[in-house]
Amino acid sequence: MKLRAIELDQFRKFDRRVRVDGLGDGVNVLCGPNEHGKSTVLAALRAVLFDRHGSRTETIRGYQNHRGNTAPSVALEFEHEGGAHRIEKRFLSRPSARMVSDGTAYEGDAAEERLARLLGVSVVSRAAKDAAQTASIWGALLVAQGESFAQARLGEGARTTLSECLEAELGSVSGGAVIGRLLKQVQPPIAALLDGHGKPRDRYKATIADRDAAIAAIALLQDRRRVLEDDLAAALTARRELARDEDPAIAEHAAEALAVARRHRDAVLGTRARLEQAEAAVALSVSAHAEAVAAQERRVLRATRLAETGRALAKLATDETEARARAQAAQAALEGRREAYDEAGRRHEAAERTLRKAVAAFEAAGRSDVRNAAASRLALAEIEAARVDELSAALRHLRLDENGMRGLQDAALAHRGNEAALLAQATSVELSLDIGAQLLVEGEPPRTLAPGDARLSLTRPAELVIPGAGRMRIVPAARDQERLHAAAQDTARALRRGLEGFGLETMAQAEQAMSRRRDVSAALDQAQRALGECLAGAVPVGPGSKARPDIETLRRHVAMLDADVSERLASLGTERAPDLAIALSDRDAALLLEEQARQASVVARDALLSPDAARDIADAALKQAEFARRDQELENQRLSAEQARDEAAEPLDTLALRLQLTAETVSARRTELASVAASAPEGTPEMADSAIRRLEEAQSNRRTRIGTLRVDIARLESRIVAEEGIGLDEQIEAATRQRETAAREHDAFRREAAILMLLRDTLNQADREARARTLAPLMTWLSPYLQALFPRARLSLGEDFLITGLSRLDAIGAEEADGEAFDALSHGTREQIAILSRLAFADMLLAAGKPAFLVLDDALAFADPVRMERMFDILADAGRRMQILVLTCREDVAAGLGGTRVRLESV
Amino acid sequence: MRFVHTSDWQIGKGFRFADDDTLAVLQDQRLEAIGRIGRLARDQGARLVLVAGDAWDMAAPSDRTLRQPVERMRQFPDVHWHLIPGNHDPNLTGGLWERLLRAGLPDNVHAHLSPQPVQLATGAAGREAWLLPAVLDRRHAFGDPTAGMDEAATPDGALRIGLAHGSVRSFGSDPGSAHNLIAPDRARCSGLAHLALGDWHGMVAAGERSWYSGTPEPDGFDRGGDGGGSVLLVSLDDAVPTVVPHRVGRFLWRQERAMLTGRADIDALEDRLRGIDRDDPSRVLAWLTVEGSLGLEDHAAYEDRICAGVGSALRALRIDAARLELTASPDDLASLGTAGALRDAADRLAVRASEQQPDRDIAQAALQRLLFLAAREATTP
Repeated sequence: MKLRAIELDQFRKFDRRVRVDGLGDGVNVLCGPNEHGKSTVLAALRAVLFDRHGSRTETIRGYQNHRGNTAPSVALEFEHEGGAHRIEKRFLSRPSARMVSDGTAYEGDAAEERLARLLGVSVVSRAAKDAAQTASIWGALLVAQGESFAQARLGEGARTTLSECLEAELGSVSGGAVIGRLLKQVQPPIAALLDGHGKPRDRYKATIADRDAAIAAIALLQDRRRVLEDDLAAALTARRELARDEDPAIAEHAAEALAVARRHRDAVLGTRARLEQAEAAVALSVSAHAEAVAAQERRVLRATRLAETGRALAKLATDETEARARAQAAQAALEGRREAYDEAGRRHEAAERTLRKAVAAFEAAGRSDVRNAAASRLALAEIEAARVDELSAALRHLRLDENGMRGLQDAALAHRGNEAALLAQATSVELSLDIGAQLLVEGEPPRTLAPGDARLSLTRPAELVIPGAGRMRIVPAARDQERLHAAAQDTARALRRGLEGFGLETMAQAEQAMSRRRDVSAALDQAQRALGECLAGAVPVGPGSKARPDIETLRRHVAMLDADVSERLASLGTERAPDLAIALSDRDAALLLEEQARQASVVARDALLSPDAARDIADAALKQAEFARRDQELENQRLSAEQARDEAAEPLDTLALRLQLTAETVSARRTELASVAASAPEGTPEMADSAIRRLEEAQSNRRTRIGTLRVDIARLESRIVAEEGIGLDEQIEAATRQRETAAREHDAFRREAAILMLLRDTLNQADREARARTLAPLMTWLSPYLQALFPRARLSLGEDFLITGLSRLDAIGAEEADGEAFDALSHGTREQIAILSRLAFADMLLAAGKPAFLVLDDALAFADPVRMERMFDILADAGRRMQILVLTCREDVAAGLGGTRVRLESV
Repeated sequence: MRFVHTSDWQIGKGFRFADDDTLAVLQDQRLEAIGRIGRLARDQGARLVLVAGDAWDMAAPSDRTLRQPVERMRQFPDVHWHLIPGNHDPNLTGGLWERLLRAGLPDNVHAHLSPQPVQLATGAAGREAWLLPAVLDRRHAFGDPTAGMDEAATPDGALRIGLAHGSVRSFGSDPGSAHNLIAPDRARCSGLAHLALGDWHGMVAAGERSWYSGTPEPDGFDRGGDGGGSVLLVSLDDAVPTVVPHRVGRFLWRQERAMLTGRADIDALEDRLRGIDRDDPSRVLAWLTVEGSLGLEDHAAYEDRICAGVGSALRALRIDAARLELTASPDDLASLGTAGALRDAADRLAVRASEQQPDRDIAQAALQRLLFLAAREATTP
């Protein structure tokens, strides 16, 4: 779309017809001072393109010239899609619209529609109050004074237009705007169902409460139903019990039973008094009779006792006589035993004397035996002691002992060591001579070597004299030779001195002397052991004594035994000791005799004790017999006296009569008692009373129960009637229905909410993804402009095609961590970016085959010279693709931009 | 002699699927049926109505529900109504029958609460007629409630008419579930001229002399027999009794199934549903099960014409459409363009609606909603 000319008349500040003509394809600049009318031209452009000619809004009225009551009119000539078009509108007074398009004229609304179609603006939206151009993308392209500082706030129509462009770019239809509208339709029903937290609300929420209320009501009703059933069962039971209790036959029967019980009790009580009297009479008669019987029994008993005591008295006298005779006999026997005991004692003493003599003889014989054995051992010990003395003397003459021998052996060993060392250093000469030779070694006697092989070890210089051949001096080249020789001589001397100390000459002699000493020493040891054996045990030693007995002790012991034996023999009156075996035999015989005598004495003594006890018993029996006889005499006298007294008081025949009378009385009374008892009714008065009480209580209980049951039944029936009347089953059915209805409604709401939310979520998701896809092409449009103005920078785009921020890239192309938010950028930068985005929008529209041009009124006010230059370049470049009209009051801008210069001219 | 045999009025029955208005009408018509029975008896010269149990739907109805049918019967003083308890209204201690007796029954209404034979006021020519009632004292009585009829004494030559509530056949495999089970040859064994049975809601003959009258006002979609809605006019004047069904029910209950795949199926279904009773569709209650698959436009037509249209015409239209799928046809989706966010959203929902997921039907509905909204958007200027 290319504007070619615009004409205003009676429009705002112009009270005349003015015209801008000669608008070129690219950048056009209308430059003029303030109040020149540039903004009025822009307003006129908007009015002719987007305001309906018949409209009378505030905005339209604002188009009038300050003189008022004028009819503002605007005419626009433009080219579009190869055709020439002219639109002319007159507002307010006799409003009109006329469009001539490709030679065809359109009037009024037809003109409006034709224009709208060319502009791609919906007619409907144009009806909205002065919203046509602001709502459409044109709002972003016709930039009034001050609007260029901000990004275009795109209305829905504008967004749709851009989206459609982007979709055309993508070769598809995103339907983003439709989605927005659909979402708007989906949201209210969701909001009607769910609150901000996604929880059910209003009617949906109420279904839950309804359902819960119905469930609670059902539970309550079912409880009442159970209570009603319980009440019905209880009432039935109560009625049955009441019917039983109120049965007159049962009541009559109970009353009769009570009367019978009372009569029975009276009868029992009457009989009881008579029975007690009869029992008392029986007891009285029995007592009288018993007393008579007792009196008689006493008399009979006493007579028996009298007879018994008489017989006992006679027997006791006999017993006493016999006891006395036994006592006397016992005394005589005791005397005889005492004599026998004395005789046995004398015999025992004689036997003891004989035994003591035999024992002394046996001991003397034993000691004599001991003495003889000790003397024999002493003789043997004397022989062994003499031998010990002899061998000890011989040993003392042998001077070489074990220590001396070890010293000699050490000296010989040292000497042999030195000799060996000397020999090791010797020069070895091996000869094989046919004739003998003489060897002269220093310090040694000359030696003659035999013919044949000879081997010489020389430790000293030597001369070998070989007859017929000459002499050969051999000097051994040994180290330390002299020191070795001296050492060998020292040890040889030491060995010699050691031997001489023991009076010996050679080590062989020493060996012999040592052998002899060992033999003598062994013999001495043997003699000492023999002597020890003779002495050992020969002399008794005290316990614990460690003193070894010596021969002198043995000699003293033998002498002591001799003295003891002599003394014992002297006391026996003999000179010679009896034979030990005979003495032993004699002693054993005496022992036997003594034992026999002692036994006889014991027997005699025992015999003496036994008759003594018999006599004591006989004496005691005699005394007892005397006492018994006297007691019996006294008892006999007492009984006789009693018998006489009773007989005087009640003679026997009187007593017999009393017995008979009392027996008859007892019999009579018992007969009376049996008669009374036989006529008595069964049971006790207590039992009779208990039966009466039981029957009375039963009657009382029945009356109480009847009252209680009537009350209970009345209460239950009133409750039952009340509950039945409301129809619990019906109410349960109604509540159940209510519950199911609420549940159905709830399910429907839940389903509806799920459907709506799924739809909403799906639309949102699709929309988001579509936006992400569609914003990408916008970036491709924006990028070249951006790179031209801000090399190494990147824009971020938000929803509604708004640029949200700017981030710059560093030298290697990495994006800065924190980009700047759009609102934080400088005024100049924001304005420049806002213009760039509008250029990109126009580019997109053109690319999509839609009409587009850009009008900037007093833009680029804050650009620095460098940015200004770049903006000029950018606008010039854009001018090759689109028409741009720049309205400015700054000549430097006009000059910098170049392009076509147009003027506002009066027509 | 002639009498009317009916049963299973089930006054006070609740219909949970129905809305409140429908419920009120359904319940009211059950009461109205009593009047129609009374008028039928009067018109046919019958002076007896035998009600074979379940006059009430529940053991503990409200006083009003209890008295309403009694008052309807009172309106026909020349007709004697003989009632026995059924399994829905058994003669429990302190139950509704005691309440009825306490409240007092009209002279022409007779409640039989013990199995004693009762002489009926009217007999056949020269013969006495005796009623042998079977009484249920509990909801489920083990054994045969008519067992005592064999031994029930009546004068020689008297007509014996049985009145009982129970099933002549056990439907369960568990022998322990044989509640109120009536011997199929009871009429023959007990020498009955007619055994008037209640319990089954569809009218059916259980033998030459054993009949179920069914409920006078249908109350279910699958009631067997004739589906209910009839009473039986029984005549014992001749050697062979005659039993003639008479229609007294107001409503027609139907169970319908339909496979919907296109507009022609919807047309046919609408015609079929409207054809149940073209003169008075408000008599019809239908339980419709639809399955199949419809495109967007067809689905909209289905909702408009079947759900909304026929649904408003009939007394009640209960629809089970769980197996009816909305299939977004290529045309439906093409209306959203070949690409773009809207098409993308529709495709997402279409995929989700085709997957065997628990929320498949939600996705289907969401897709339907989207297509509907988009179509409306497109046509809105």
